[in-house]
Amino acid sequence: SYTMMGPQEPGQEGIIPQLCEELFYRISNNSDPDLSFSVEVSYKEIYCERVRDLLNPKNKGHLRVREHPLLGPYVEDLSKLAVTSYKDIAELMDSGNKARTVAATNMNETSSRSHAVFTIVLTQRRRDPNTDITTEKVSKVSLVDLAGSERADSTGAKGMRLKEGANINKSLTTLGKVISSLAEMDGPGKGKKKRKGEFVPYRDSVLTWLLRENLGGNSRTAMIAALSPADINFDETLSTLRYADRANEIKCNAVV
Amino acid sequence: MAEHSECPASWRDEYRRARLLLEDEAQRDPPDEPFRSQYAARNVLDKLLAELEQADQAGGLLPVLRRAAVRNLQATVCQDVEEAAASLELLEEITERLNIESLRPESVSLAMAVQTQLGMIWVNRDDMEKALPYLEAAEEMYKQYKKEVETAPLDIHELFMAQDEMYSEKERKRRFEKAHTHTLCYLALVCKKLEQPERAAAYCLATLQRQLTSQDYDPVDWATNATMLSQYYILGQQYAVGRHCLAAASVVIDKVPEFEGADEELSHIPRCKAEIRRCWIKYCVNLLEDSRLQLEDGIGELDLKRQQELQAQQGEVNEVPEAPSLFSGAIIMDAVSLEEGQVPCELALGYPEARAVFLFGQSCLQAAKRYYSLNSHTTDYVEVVQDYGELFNALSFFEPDIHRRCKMQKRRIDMLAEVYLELNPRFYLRLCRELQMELAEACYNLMDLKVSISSNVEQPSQHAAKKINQLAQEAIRYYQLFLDSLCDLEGRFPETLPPEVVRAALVANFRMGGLHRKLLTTDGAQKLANTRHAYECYRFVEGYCVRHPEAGEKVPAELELSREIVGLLPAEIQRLTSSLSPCQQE
Repeated sequence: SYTMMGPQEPGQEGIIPQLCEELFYRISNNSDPDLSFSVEVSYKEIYCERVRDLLNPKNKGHLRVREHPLLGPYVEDLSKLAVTSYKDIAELMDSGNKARTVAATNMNETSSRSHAVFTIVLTQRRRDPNTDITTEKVSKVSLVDLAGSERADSTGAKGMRLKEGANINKSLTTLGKVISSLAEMDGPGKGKKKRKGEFVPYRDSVLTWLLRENLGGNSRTAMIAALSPADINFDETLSTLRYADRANEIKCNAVV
Repeated sequence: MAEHSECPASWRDEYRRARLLLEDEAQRDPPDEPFRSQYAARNVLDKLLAELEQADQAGGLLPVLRRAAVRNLQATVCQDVEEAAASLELLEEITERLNIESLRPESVSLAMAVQTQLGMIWVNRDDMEKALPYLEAAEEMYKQYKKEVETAPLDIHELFMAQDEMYSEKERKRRFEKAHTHTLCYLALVCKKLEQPERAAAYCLATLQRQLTSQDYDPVDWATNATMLSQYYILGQQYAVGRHCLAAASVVIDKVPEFEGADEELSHIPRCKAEIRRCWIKYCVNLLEDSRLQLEDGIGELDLKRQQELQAQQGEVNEVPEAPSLFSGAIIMDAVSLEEGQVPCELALGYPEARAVFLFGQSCLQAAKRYYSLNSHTTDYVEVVQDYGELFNALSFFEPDIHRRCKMQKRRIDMLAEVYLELNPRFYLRLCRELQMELAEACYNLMDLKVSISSNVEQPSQHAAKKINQLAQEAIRYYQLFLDSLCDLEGRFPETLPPEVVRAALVANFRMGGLHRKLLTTDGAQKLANTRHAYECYRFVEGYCVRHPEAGEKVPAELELSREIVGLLPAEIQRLTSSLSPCQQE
């Protein structure tokens, strides 16, 4: 959060404020009469595979996630608010963040914090003075605050503390993980076609679904991993590094 | 079983208190005081241990067990508060004595628990080699006990219960079996990490089976696990086992009653059912593909001689191999057999068998499409359509009648083209690229078939030639679309292709080369242009592999041919150029 948002003091702004300042600066400095811009934002939270609209927290229910062939993956009924300055954005993020905290208390150790995705959609419209036709270019920036990586250890071993003595009724979540890793193994590949490792995205997380376009092919994605030099944080640092390392290997896995 | 002396009330209370802290209150520890309950439990257990040690120095098994049980619980606490070394120490202290007495009803549960905990400590430390022997020891204890003793053993907690609080035989059995199921599950994990997937899978199967028998499972979870596991077996070409898992998954999920209404929880059920269907479809696709591989000759056609050989072999085998009954004893066995009976698990040796697989796959498809609609599950829908196309493609290999083969390829082209037009490449780039390549390949296949038909005819018609050309052009168009999709925003083709598309890009160029040369035309200038295009394509393959030798390793056959043809074409181009009248030449 420090990297992304930064504290409120000037000179210590995080990435998001810097991005927005630059964005609106360029917009306001535009002198081309044929160009016009609009900026819209949305802010959603993903908690336990459910999506909440942080800009409309009164909407108690969670939102459905769908995929449309033309529009891509989207969240139904997600608020999209127009903004004209960084101040607008900051205020919306602030109120959105407050809505987050409420959701994430009273957790037991098996659930993690929520993910949050702040999306800025920039639309540039250019009017062709000769034909009077307006064309649009749309660009989308998604800023994702990922929940703590402690649960995402690549070995799958963490978070699986045996409590034989105390709680024999623990469900076999390990089983799912092992089978999942067996299913992900590639086939022998004798045939001309490479066998796809995973047939069906059985437990595709909502986050992956929504970020599909970001993770494959047509976009740039950067990941910032927050590490600590303190030795008491060794485990978490190691875990975060492993996570980031894995993320680095994500490819657009077209099987052609 | 030895009668044991009544456990004093104070000990019972303290043990109970410790358990309450660990199982219950620990969930409610505030985030800024994370292990509050564990530390409290530790204090209680320390106190209890001191009392136990003071009380009975006379020996005898029971006091030893009680002290060991407390140490075991203390070890659990150490694990919770991330003091693995302390946990290890505690457990190693008690393990030797316990292992000697391990097969007694009073002690086996505790002995198993200690071994399993030791195993888990090493799993958490990422040392699977050390973990394995402990878990194997626990497994062995279970097996030995069951062989030698009829009654269920005491549960660990009963060491600190009053006579009238103790569990029934049935409950003891349940807990004992459950503990072993957990052991098997952890063994699966360790084996997988030790890269023994076959063994891991066997443990997973055993775990699933035990869940069914004990009737202690969540149906959606179970069905999802069984489906995923079947995938492992399908990819490993163990179709009988794969089919068995899928059939069991289908039966289990079908037993869950479906409610009308918008309850969020219950929406997992239709999704799970759809996933099972998709996995069935993949089963069929893979089975047909492997059947094809078995019968393919050098140029990708059905090798009739080989087919005859295999069919003869099959005829000789008199006994039908036993179908695997991995879930035997479970109530659902009959239903599973019924489900399995719908589709073969042997590789198809001819059209009738292939057709049976195809039809089953097709029925699953219809069911899957009901859930995965284009407008809300685009990716899934498209992948289902791709699979449908693949089923036709695979079936056409077995079809003896060439005209029917054409029809099948045409169906494939139509369905892929239909869905291709719907997709926005901005969001579905991967799918678009896959479809482009598949469509190109399908057009190529169909064209090949048409060429075959017309070469067998005395007078190939002009209509046939036109059709062949059309298909060739379509294939070229799709290959070009694919290659265009690799360009950057300014339309420049990249110097170096990302590794996941290299092979496809080279194959696309290679095929395009061949297609340009196959285009039929009587127009000399057109022929020249086609040959020049072909030359460019082959040159691309050769050139790219020179600049990137590792790419050449992915397409050795195509590269070799490309080199040859690049050597031959210039002469042909020269010849064609000079045979044109001067005004036709460039």
